[in-house]
Amino acid sequence: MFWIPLRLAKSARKYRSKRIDEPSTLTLDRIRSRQEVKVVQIVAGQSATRQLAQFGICPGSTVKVRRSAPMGGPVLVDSGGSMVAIGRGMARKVRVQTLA
Amino acid sequence: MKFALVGQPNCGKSTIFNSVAGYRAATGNFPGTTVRLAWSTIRFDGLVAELVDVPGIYSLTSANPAESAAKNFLFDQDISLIINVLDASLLSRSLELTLELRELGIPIIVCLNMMDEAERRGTRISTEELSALLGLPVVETIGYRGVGVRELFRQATHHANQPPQPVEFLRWHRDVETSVRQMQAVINSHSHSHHLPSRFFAIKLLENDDDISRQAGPEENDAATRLRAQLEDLRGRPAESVIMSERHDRAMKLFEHSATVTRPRHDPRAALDTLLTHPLWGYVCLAVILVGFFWAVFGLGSVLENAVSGKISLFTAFLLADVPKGGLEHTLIAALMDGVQGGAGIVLPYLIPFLFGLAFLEDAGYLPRVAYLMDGMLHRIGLHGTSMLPIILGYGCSVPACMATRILPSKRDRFLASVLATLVPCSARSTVIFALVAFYLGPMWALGIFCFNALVVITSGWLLARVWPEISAGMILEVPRYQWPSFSVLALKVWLRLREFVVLSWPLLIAGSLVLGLGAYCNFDHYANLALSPLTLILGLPAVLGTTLVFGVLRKELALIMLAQALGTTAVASVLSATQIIVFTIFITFYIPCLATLVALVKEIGRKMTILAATYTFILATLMGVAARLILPLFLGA
Repeated sequence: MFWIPLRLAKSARKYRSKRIDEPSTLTLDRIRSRQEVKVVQIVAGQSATRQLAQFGICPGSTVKVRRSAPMGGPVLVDSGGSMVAIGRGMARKVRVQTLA
Repeated sequence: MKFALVGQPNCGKSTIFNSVAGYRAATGNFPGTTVRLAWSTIRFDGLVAELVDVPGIYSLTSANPAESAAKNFLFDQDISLIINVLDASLLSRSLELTLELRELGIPIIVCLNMMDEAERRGTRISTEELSALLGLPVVETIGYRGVGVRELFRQATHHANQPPQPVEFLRWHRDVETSVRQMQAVINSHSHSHHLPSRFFAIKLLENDDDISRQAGPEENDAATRLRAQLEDLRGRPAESVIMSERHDRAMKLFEHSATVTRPRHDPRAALDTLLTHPLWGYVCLAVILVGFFWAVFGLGSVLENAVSGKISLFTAFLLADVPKGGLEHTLIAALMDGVQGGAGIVLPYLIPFLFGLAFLEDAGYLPRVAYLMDGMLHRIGLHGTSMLPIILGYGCSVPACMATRILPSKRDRFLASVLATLVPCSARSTVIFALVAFYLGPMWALGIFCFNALVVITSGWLLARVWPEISAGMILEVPRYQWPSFSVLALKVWLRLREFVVLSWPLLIAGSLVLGLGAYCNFDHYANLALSPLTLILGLPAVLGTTLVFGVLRKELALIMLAQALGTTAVASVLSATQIIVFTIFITFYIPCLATLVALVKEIGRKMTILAATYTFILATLMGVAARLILPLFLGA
């Protein structure tokens, strides 16, 4: 269990470096709970795009983040009345815009 | 006539199926409960029809094997009518599938299910308006209460053989519509082997659907590529995304025209979710629920066991009172009663509360929340949250758990999840843990074994994920609303699972007990035990348990009953040391899955992988058994 803090520190570093690289992009995995966002673009392969679209998550749609699980866990969003859990990796592919 | 129940996952198809076909298909409150087709013959108003429950699909482009099965069924079978079940509270999203189904040219009746839920959400739907706009008959139902189901089937018989007609309202934007027409023209100019409507075929080709492009000829595929590029130029994004948006747009318009949204009623379930998915309290609640579940099963089980076992023992003593000891008759009666007692006195007391508890969690809708909570952790070992569903179902029975892996899109994920699901103690193995370890050594030891098992499962997952590395696509899983499970559905569900034990395992158990008794009488078991002595020797178990371990392959509960039979007493603790009890249990829990599971595994992951999995579990079980044998005496002092 002793390696967990090390791991966390490492992933945090990775995270920070990424933020410096692309300061202007906002992705679904960075959104805080209870915030409503508009999907701008989905940067993913065909199958992921299709799967997201099945739940109404496509460019132009609005989703509300319910929860963001800790430690690289998934994001829970409200989309068109249904609740969908999206893995962090998948959420990172969804570029969004915050709504006031 | 053949009716097919088609709809998005978790919209209540199986509930409607069961309400007319009797409880035949397992239902549950998580997407992907049904992974294979269920058939039933129904009689209605003197009419005989076949009703097929089709696994849930979000769209007609499949992502996983369960969806492919559904899609192939719709494409290849001669269906008189599709009963398109919709979750009325998710109307606009559900309508997207309806729009796709329309293109198949098969008569459709729309069934707006869960009307009560929609009302609670403040969505009021005008059925007439929707029916007029869609050009399809629409019926309202509340599946779990059986409201509207009669009307649904009455309408269904009326509307069979009336394929949907084109409707002006549903027409797409002109540029997209032109592309579809052009594609259709290319398809019509070629002779082809498929029998799908050309418009549907054209749309799917433009959407770049793999299955459909494989069926299409080279000219058709070329034309599709050209038209896709043209559409992409026009709209500035991929053609399939354009078509998806068209459908999405039409569905939204349908929703806006036929439904009015008012303020939703206050929903206490939202508060429950705030707690159960909380980054900290969510995990605390998960632990509390699991431990509470464990104590409830153990508490109820031991009370029942004491009550029933005592009665049967008295009865056995009464039967044996006048029979001379040591004779064949005595041996047979004792063996027979051992079998009976094993079933009624040891297995059922734990099995029934266990199945009830699991069914409750399934129907309430807790499992997808567990998947949500565990996804982050599972990612660290190379899996993702959706794999958690089959693994949790593994606590019930390994066979449906292996089948449930069909909801996973990747072959590698299916392999991992099915191996891990077989390692999880199923209800039969849990019974062994409860009746042997918890009963004789105390519940803390049993809890310890469950935790130890979880640890081994996680480690195995980590190990196997390294052996077969693949970047996991990541989870995307719908989390359904909570539902208060109805008692009768729970009871039926428990019975569906219990029936297998009562009609199959129990007779087998009694027969096995008789065989073992006879074997002991003829001194035959001696040789069998001798052959297995290397195994019992390294595990430090008495040699008489050799045959018992073999019986475990047939059914895991058998090992438990046979244990009592082989030792000649039900007071196991007087013959075996605490270490031996635990070693035996650990070995039984981990080693080669039972026969039924092996068959299911072969079907899901293939023979080679199954042999691999069986070998792996056998080695794992032996290693764990030996480790327990060496380590435990240090704690137990024996």
